[in-house]
Amino acid sequence: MSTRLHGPAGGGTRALIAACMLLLGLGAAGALLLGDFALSPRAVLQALLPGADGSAAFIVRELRLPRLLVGVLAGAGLGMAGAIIQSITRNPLGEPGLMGVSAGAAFGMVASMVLFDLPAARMLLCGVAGGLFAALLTFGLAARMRLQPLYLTLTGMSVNLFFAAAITLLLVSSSVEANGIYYWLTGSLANRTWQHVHLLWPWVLLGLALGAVCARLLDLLALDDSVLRALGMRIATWRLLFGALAVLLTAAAVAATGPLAFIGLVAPHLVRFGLRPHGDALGHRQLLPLSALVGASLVCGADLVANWRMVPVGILCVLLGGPLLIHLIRKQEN
Amino acid sequence: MPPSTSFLAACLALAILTAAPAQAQSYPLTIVDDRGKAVRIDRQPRSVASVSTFGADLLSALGRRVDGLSTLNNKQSAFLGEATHGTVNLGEVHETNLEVLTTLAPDLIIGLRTYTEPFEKKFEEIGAFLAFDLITLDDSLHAVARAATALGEGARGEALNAAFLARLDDYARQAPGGVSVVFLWHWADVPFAFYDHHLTTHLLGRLGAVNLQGASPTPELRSPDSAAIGMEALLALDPDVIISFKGDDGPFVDHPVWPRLKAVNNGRAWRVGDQYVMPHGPIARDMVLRELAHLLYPAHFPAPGDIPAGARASAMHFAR
Repeated sequence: MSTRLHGPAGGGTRALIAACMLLLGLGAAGALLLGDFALSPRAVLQALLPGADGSAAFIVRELRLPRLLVGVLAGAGLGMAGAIIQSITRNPLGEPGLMGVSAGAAFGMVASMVLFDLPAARMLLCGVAGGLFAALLTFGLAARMRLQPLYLTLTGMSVNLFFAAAITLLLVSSSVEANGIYYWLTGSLANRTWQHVHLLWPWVLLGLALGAVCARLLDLLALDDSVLRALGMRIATWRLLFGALAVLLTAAAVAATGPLAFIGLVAPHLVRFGLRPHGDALGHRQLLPLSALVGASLVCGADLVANWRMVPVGILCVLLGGPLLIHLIRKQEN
Repeated sequence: MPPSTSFLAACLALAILTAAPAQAQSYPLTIVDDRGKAVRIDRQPRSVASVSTFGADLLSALGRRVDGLSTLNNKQSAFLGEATHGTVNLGEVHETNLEVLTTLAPDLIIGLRTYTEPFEKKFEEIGAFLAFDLITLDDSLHAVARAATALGEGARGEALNAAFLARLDDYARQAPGGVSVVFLWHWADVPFAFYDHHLTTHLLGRLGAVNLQGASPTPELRSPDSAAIGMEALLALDPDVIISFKGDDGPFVDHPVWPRLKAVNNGRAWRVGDQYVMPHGPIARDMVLRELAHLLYPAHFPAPGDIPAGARASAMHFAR
């Protein structure tokens, strides 16, 4: 994946940001305005003001706003995690699931529900722990091959399949309420609360900050290993650190929403396809925050429809993300 | 006026006394189950396995014991009380242990079509196999009639149905109405609300309560019998009474909407046993009807005293 590393924000970047902000704005407006209670835009605005009280304030602040923020944060986290994983594995089809993290986090959540029926906060922590464990397994197994991208990818896929099978085993052997299980496993923002927001925001902000600080190192990791070794760079250590960052972002997002497929894969590609025709700079300093922005916009846009039709947003992510990716690939070939 | 216990006693006595004796039913006989299959039963079944509580419930109502019984979430249903003690555990309802079932070699297997369909050939190799779809009141009535016939107790099966319908009419007449209700089940933090056509919600309707989830948007299909419901939607509905299968502990009760619901604040959010989601046997449906009547109208209907402790409704507990 060749990238131009530096340069000012050009017309493509501005257009991409404007498009994302428009989608994000629409998603946010929809999330705050639409629901089972009919609230006017004025009532929603008043409910958001400090000191607001009453039913409208409860509905907007305690029900709709957390859902919106969880969508924004999870989308941003997954988008950024996807960009990092595509870089460190040098795999354009890289995504958080490829490290086994999504399946590991989902396994942690499902195990906490099925085996222990824990309170929400502990359940979320189980999700993060599951994601971290899966990532440790992936990195641990791939470490023998110095975390070379191909081995990292193959190991991640194996770990992903292992945890997917473990989830199935857990569900088949312990519960029969398949509707509920599959509803959660498709990924949803329904009924999310501030607990989920509090779980997510520190990781996403940390990811954004570290991404901004270490973007240049990620740029370097895109170079060939022999070049990096000649430069005296500790390749495996840096891959591990960036991988850990992507893992934390993904695990927190999956713990809060369930697995949202395609966001981590599609968001960085949308950024690249949006900027390349305009010849804009595309180093990780641009790629990471823009992938986060695109990821957040995609999830919020999808949730607008999901909220309206009462379906899990994960289904919309797959329905939108799949064709979008195919379209982008065909466009690139042309 | 409270419902008369003597009325029920009279109905049941009538059902039992007027029923033809078992020997009167001649074998072989053929029963068409809900797969549309004509199942031939050569002689009166002596041993019976039940995949779901329905078969065990019916046998118990007929004064017989089931030989093998499946579990739900690795537990035997509490509402059947001692009737399930000593029965062979056939494993979870959706994945029957076929080796155990083969060893048991029952003359008759009564199961739910949903869970047994993938393995129906195996079931048929083991013994005569009847599979039922159990969602609505009609499903319950027809299944009781056919399964009782297969057991050589056709007349008593019909009598059980008649006694239940009589009690349902009696309760419906006495129920004051004017209560709104939502019947939930949940998986993790996702609540699902039952539509009108499920037997339990049908009973709620007959008792004059309004099921706020309403009818299925696809009435031509009986399944699904419930749909996911958002907590904002639940707040908008704000029912007088909440009936919830499971409904305690875990993330389900953590949500900030619960303390704002009328039912919760009035102590009318109830956690109920699995007989509410599988109410199609004669004992379960009768138990559910009587307990629902009490939960909806405690001043008019006394709490049933004969429900095993583990199956009784209890107040839901919330995290906040």
